[in-house]
Formats: sequence, structure tokens, C-alpha cells
Amino acid sequence: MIAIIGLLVGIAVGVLWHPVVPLWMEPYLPIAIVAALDAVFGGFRALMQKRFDDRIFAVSFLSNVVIASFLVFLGDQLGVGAQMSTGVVVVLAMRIFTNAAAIRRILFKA
Amino acid sequence: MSGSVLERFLAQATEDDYLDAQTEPADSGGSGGWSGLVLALTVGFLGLLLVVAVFSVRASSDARTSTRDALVERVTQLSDTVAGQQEVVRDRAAAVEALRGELLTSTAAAAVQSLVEEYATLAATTEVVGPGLTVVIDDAPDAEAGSLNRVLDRDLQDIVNSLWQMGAVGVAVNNQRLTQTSAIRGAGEAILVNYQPLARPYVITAVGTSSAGTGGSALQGLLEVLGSDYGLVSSVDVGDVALPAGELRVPRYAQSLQEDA
Repeated sequence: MIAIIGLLVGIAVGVLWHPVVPLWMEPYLPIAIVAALDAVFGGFRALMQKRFDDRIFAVSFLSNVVIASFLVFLGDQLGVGAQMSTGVVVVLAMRIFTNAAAIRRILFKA
Repeated sequence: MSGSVLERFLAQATEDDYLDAQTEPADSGGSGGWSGLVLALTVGFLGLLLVVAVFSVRASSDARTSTRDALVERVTQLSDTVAGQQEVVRDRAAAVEALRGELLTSTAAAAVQSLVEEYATLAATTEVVGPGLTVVIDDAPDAEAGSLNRVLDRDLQDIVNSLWQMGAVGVAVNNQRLTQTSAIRGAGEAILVNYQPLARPYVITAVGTSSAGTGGSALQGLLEVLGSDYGLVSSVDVGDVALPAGELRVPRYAQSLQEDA
């Protein structure tokens, strides 16, 4: 419940505040979102398995976002930015699918 | 231990975040207060991130469409300007023509008037309508690129010259009026008249030809030779034709750098 309220408040703040993303930050935004989605799916799976933990969720969320963005930033500095974002997205997407499969097994027993 | 490198890598990469929580059941979970706040803040951050991403993507696509729209608008605006100015040029030319006619009649200089008309016809700066000939000539049906069975610039030159011999006062090739400075020449595969490339079939129109002249048989003979030797397809029509006005090219004179040399 509190999570849904938090989500709605975040969306409302974004819509009302309408922040302008600095140009240097723009390439990292999609990566950060995919990383955040990974943490969300992981948290959802843990919730289904009744072993959800707020602390782990918050830490994994923030560290996922920061590390994924940092990896892409590092790749940019080394001149392999595109490859690095591909690699990060592939790994994160793989994790998301694994978590989604676990959720599906719990929800539909299939 | 067993399994390929890829399998081990996959297992590690997709490891569960909550492994520790499984061994040690969450004691702080569900206690509300601090941990609930953290959860709300984290999820709120996710919402903010999503909204910002959506807005930034939309803003960049907006910028792209507005740039494109601005370019399209400029193109249409400029072509409108060009069309308007061409209209003005036509109007001015007609006005000049009318004023000149007025001036000549008002001074009652009928001789000068006819002289002006004659010179204008000779310089090919006015349209000419009258009885004449239309010659249509085309490549041989089985002509290949680079073969001699195609209409060459030489052929068009010969036809035009025989039309001049027949007393033509004006000649046009594919609606390109020939003036004193026109050239018919080949450029690669194409034939240029007034520096404009022509498309086949080639239509040569001439006003003022008299088939009674000696040129008539010369033209006939030329077309027959072209047909029998190279397979070029041609036809000649007698009748009224209209020629467009030619473009007057003012000669440009070279100047010596040293005045006294």
C-alpha cells in the first residue's frame, strides 16, 4: 500500500515539477530505468515468496541504478559506451526475465 | 563445478538478491516507520525516473518534428517566392513589349516597328507561330547504349542546318529555341541544346520553311540515309507550329589586365 502511494507521489512530483534532464545525464537515464526495473521485479518476486525486505530492496534499487549508470559512464570514457550499455541491458533484461519467470510460477503455478 | 562457463555465468548473473533474507527471516520487515518510508521513497524515486524519462524522450522527438516542420515551411515559402517572382518577370516582359509597341506607333515609325520585329525574330527572343515543319526522329528500335544506331548530336545538327537552308526563320529542338548562341552538342550519352539535356524522341520544329526550296530534298535525303544506314526512325509533318521564345544570352567579353599591352 505504502509502495503504491510512494509510486503515485513520485509520478505526481515528476509531472508537476517537470524536471529538465541535463544533457550529460540523458544517455544514462534509460539504463538507470532498466536497472530500477530489475530491482522492482526482484522485490516483487521476494514479496511473492514472503521474504521481502525493505532494506534489501532500497539498497539493491539504488546500487543497481548507480552501478549500471557508472558502468555505462565508464564505457563512454573508454570509448566502448555503446557496447557497455548493450552488455548492461542484456544482463539486466536476463535478470528481469528470470524474476518474471519465478513470479509467473508462483502466481499461475506454471 | 560442472557445467559450462556460460551456465555458471548465467547462474551468477541472475542470482537472487534476497538470498540472505531467506536464511534469516526479515525481522525489520513490516515494522512500518523507517523501513516503510525507505520503501515509499525508493518506489517514489522509480516513479520520478519513469516520468522524467518519458518527458525527455517526448521533448527530443518534439524538437525533431519542429525542426522538420520549420524546414518544410521554409521550402514551401521559398518556392512560393520563386513562383511569385517568375510571375513578376512575365508581367514586366509583357509591359516592356507593350510600351515598346506604344512608343513605336506613337512616333509613327512603322518602318522601325517592322525592323524591331524582324530583329526580334532573328534574335529568337519572341515566340513565333506559323506554317512550318515538324521532324520527329528517334533511335533505332534495337539500339544499345554506345552503338551508332542512336541519334547523335551530328544528326540533329545536320537536320537543323537543312531546315535553315529551307528558309526557316526559327527552329526549336524539343521546345528549346535555337538562338545565335545556341549549340547542339553531345555530352556523354545525352544531347545538349542550350545546355539542357534532351530526352528522346527528338522533335525539331521549324517555322517558315518552304518545301519548294532545294533544302527539302536535302532533308528528305538526309533522313533516308539515317534510316537506311543506322535504322533511325523519323517522320516529317507539314503544318502550323509554334516556337517558344529563346533566351537572350548577353555575350561576356574578356578584358586584358594590361591596358597598354
